[in-house]
Formats: sequence, structure tokens, C-alpha cells
Amino acid sequence: MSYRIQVDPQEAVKEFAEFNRKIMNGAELLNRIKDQDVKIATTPKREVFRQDKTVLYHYEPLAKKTVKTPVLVAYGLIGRYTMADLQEDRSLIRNLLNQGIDLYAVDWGNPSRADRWLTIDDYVDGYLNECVEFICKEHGIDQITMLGICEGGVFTLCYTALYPHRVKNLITTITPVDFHADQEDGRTDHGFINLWTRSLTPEDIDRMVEANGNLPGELISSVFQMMTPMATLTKYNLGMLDVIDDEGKLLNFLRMEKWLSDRPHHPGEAGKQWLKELYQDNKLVKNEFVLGSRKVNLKDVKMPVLNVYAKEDHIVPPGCSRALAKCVGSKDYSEISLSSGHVGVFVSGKSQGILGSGIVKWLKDHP
Amino acid sequence: MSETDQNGFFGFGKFAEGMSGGNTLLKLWMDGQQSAFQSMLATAPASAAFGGEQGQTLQPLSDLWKSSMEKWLTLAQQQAGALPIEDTLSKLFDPTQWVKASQDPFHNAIEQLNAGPSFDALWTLDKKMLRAQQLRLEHERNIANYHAIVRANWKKAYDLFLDEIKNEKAAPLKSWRETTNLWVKIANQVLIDMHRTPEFLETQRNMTRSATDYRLQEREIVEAFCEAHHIPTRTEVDEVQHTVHDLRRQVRQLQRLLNELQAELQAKQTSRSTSGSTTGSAVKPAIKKAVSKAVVKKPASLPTTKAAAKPASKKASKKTPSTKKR
Repeated sequence: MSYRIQVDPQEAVKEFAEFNRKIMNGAELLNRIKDQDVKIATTPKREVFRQDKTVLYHYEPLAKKTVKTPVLVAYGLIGRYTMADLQEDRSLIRNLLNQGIDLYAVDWGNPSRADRWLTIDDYVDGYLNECVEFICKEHGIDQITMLGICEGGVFTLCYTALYPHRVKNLITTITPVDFHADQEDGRTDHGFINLWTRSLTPEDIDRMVEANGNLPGELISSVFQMMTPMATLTKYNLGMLDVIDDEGKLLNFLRMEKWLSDRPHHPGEAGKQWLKELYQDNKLVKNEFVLGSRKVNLKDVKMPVLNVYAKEDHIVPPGCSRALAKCVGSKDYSEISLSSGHVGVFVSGKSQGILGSGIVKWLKDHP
Repeated sequence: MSETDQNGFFGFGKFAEGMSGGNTLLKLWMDGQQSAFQSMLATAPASAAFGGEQGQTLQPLSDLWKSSMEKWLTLAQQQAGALPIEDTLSKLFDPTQWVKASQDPFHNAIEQLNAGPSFDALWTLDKKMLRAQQLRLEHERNIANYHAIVRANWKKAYDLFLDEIKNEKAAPLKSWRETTNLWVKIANQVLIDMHRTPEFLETQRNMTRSATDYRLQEREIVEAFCEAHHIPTRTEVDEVQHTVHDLRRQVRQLQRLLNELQAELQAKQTSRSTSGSTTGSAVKPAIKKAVSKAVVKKPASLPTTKAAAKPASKKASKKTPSTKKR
């Protein structure tokens, strides 16, 4: 029996020498890097509004204003908004500021068990609404532009449908709209969360929330990890080996780890709505999702819409995002398609030049 | 100074100290990697999220890499001597080792949630404890079923890997990295496919369910203890928080109503002052009184919203550019 493995012992020794050189250099590097060197979300900003745990930040301008309407960035409750400002050269926030956008971002804080009863209604009709009203009052304007990310994209979409008079333009990024379109592209490595959630019964979700009071951040992380099983297993060795002796790459790796580890719990009732009404029942795309006593009708989204999605997004597969085109009432709908994964849209080197500039160009056309 | 400060990020300083010890590089790498993993898991923010349990998960994986490298060197020697390498390969990518290393994060997350207090002092709560034990056993059974499926798939991955290694038509593999990459690629696909199978989803669901059942039963026991000792229970605290949440929502609605009424009033006053009427001033105190009466109900500890006034009327909102477009 012959095998494909054809190892030259001398080459094997060489490989190990190189391997060890990397480790030695990497070890020295890691020894030098302190916790305080691994900073994320460093773009200067100030807190301008706070309600309960929700904080609204206004970023310091980095260039002369080029678009008059301010933009509010809203992340979801799964992960933190800091992904949009991971590091200086990988920051959507900074890219937008550098091109003259007046920028706000909302931080939902760290929900605890005490926040179990908060619903998506509280976030959309409550906190997000208050943030928008604050910005409008500050600027003496009637409308702002909203930029939603992932679950935050759903929040901004719902808000826009309920308060169309307050939104001049809507930008959604990596946002699920049709939660059942996960297998549209037929890729088995895409959409596991959709499948996993559908494998549970509504009672399973209710009891999970009853038992934990929320959707624990570590549980959410573990489902994400299952989507890339070997990458999860090899991250701290094989994966790290590729970056360990390059300070720039290593810091990028560590910053990403810092962001990943900062995964707040998802408030329980909002989590039930997210999993049962959206992932399981797909109510958003059917215009059946109710917040408070009002139905979210996506046909009411008639203002200009820019939808950004990632072709390699395994968490929100492209089909789930692109469904927006058919749902909104807007006649001015555009898309930006990026060749990256879910998080890569914001943090990959390749996306940096495309995403920020693409959004700014679109905003200048819709000032 | 924190441990992180003293030892570098994730405690890799300890690793570097070992480098000057005069041992062989390979041994240093192995020892260093192991201690680095341990340090990393002790101090990394990621491990905090897992309450330190992740350390137990990754320890076998760290050992696995050490072993993998040792075996690779053996393989290189065997290759030179034209000895059969299948045995070494099986040790290198031993599926039983990988399945141990992968004691997957989902299972660990579930177990972490289940890790609760010890109930040694509560054996008087016989029935509740018995039920908890039954649920724990049920959960153990579900975990065993789950891991049986996972193990079978690691074995499948290894078999496919071996087939690929024997594929004479494919390009030769000349390095540890190339071979490892092939293994990672094959195993990844097998595991992803496994995750989508109905049997995997069912066993995982069962595991989630039994973990939840156990946790809720655990709560019943704790609450019985709390009630007996005049301590508020989780259920009671949840109820209080629910009440606060409902009140908070009512406050928000009242605040919004207040803003709307004030804006409406202002609009009326403006229009009347321009037309010379004075009746608006009589309306203002009445509305203010009604609104302030409502707002007094707000609990003192809750923060006041800073909501700005909404558009004065639907008419005003129609002035927006987007409405014009429509």
C-alpha cells in the first residue's frame, strides 16, 4: 500500500526548526504585549444620552462634514457594537468619520437577569426611539439615517417601519429578514443557527429562558462555535501559529478574541421573540411581527434603503439578507455585496476600502 | 499589578521564561504550549465567559498537539526507512483522541449552566432531590447518546482521511502542515454534515431539554430552602422585576404622551398667537395638570427619559422628504 505522504526526514526537521523559530519569536512577542495593548473601540466619542443600561455615544468628528444628516449605528444584543470599531485600521466607524459623516452609536450595555423581561418592543419602541428623538432634538431636525448591524439591523428595520417619518435613509448590514432562506444557496456550512433553532420547539425555548432568565452569552457562543467546528478546535494552535510571530497580525488576532469574549447575555423575553417569532415563525418577512400593539409592515419602509450583505456569511446567509429587496416598499433600494464572512464585513482588511466608501458614496447621493 | 501585566498577554511570559532553560526546542514548545494554554485559559476574557470550564475542554486538545508532533517525527523516520506508516497515522489523527479534545463547546456550555450549588445539606427534601437525581440521570443518558453520534462521526472523518491519504492520484503531502490541513478540512466537513443530520439535532435537543429540566428542578429545591429560611426566591425576584419592567414601560408611555400633548399645545398656542386668540392659555394648565397627575405615578428611582417632542402632528410629519417622494 502506498500513501500520499512523502516526507523527507530532513525537510521534516526543517519544518520543525521553522515551527520552533516562530514559537520562540511569538513567545517573545506575547511577553511584550500587555493587556492594555489590546484595545478595541478606541475612536474618540462621548456619552450624550443614557436610559437604563442603554448608552448613546456621539463620535468626535475626524473630518469636515460631508453629509448633513447624522447617522445612528445600532448593533444587536448578540455581541457588542465595538465590532464596528475593532481597531484603527479596521473600523467602519473611523472610515465613516474620516469621510465626514456625523456619527452616533447605541450601546445596549450588559443585560443581566434583572433585564429578563425586556422585549424587542422595549429596545425598538423604547430605547432606540429615545435615542432617535434625542438626536433629532439635538440637531433640530425631523429625520436621521439609521445603520443597523445584524440583529440591530432588524431593530432599525422595525423602527423604520413603525416610525417612517423619523428615518431619512435606512442602511442594513448583515441583517436577517427572511429567516427561512438559509438554504437558498445550498451550502451546508451556512445557516446552522436557523436549522438549530427550528429543531427546538417553542416550549424548549420558553423553558430555556425560564431556567436561565436569558439566553446566556456562553450558549450563544457555543452555537456559533459549532458552525466552524475545526476552526474552533485549532484556533489557539494551528490558527495562532500563522500569526504568532507577526506583531500586527497577532494584535489583530487578540483584538478579535477580545471582542469575541465580550458576549453579553441576551435578555430572555427579547430572546424568545428573536428565536420563536423570527427564526421559527419567520414573522418579519410575512409582515406579521408585532411590537407593542403595532404590526411591523415592511411595506412602510419607503425611504431609500441600502442593504449590505456578505457572500460568505455562514451566520446570516446571503439569501436571508437579500430577501429585503422584495419586502420593503422603497423604490430606491440598493445593495452592496462583499466577499467576506459575517464579521469579516467589518474587520477584514479587504472590506475596509469597500464598505465605508460604499456607504459614504450612497449617503452623499442621499444627503 | 495583575497577573496579565506580569506575564504578558494571556500569561505567555511564563512561556518565554522557559526558553532560556537549555531544553530542546521541541520540548520547550510542548511544555510552553501547555502552560500557555493553561495561562490563557486562566486569564483570557474568553475563559471568564466560560467560568474557567473551557480550560478542561482545551487541555486534551493541547495534549493532542504535543502528541501529533511527536508522532510526525516518528512518521518521518518510518518514511525514510520505508516502514508501514498506517499505525503511526492512526495515532497521529486518532479519532478517539480528537473526540476527547472536542468535548464540544455546546455540551460544556450546557454543563456550565447546570453547575449549581451542592445540596448535601438538603437531603430532607427527599422528593425534590429524587426527582433531580432522576433528571440528572436522564441528562447523563442524553449526553451519552449525543457523544455516541459525535464519536461515530470522528471515526468517519478518520476513515475518509485515510482513504484520502491512500489516494495515489492526489498530490503528495510533503509536510506536517499539509497533512494536518487535509485532516482539518475533512474533519470539518464531516462535523458540519453531522450537525445537520436529524439524529444529531434530536440528541442535541434532548440534551438541551434534560439540562433545562434539571436546572428548573434544581431551582425548586433552592426555592424550598429559601422559603424555609425566609429568603426571597428566584420566582419572587422575577415577579418583582416583571412588575418593575411593566411600570417602566408605563412610565415611558406616559412620558411620550406628555411630550405629545406638550407639542400639540405649543402648536396650538403658536397658531392662536399668530391669529390673535388667547384661549390657548386656558387649555395649557388643564393639560399640564392631567399630565403631571399621570407622571407622579412614576417610581422615584426610575430615571426620567429625555425624549424630545415628537412632530406636532401628522401634518408636520408629512413635510419630511421621504413622504414628499412618495
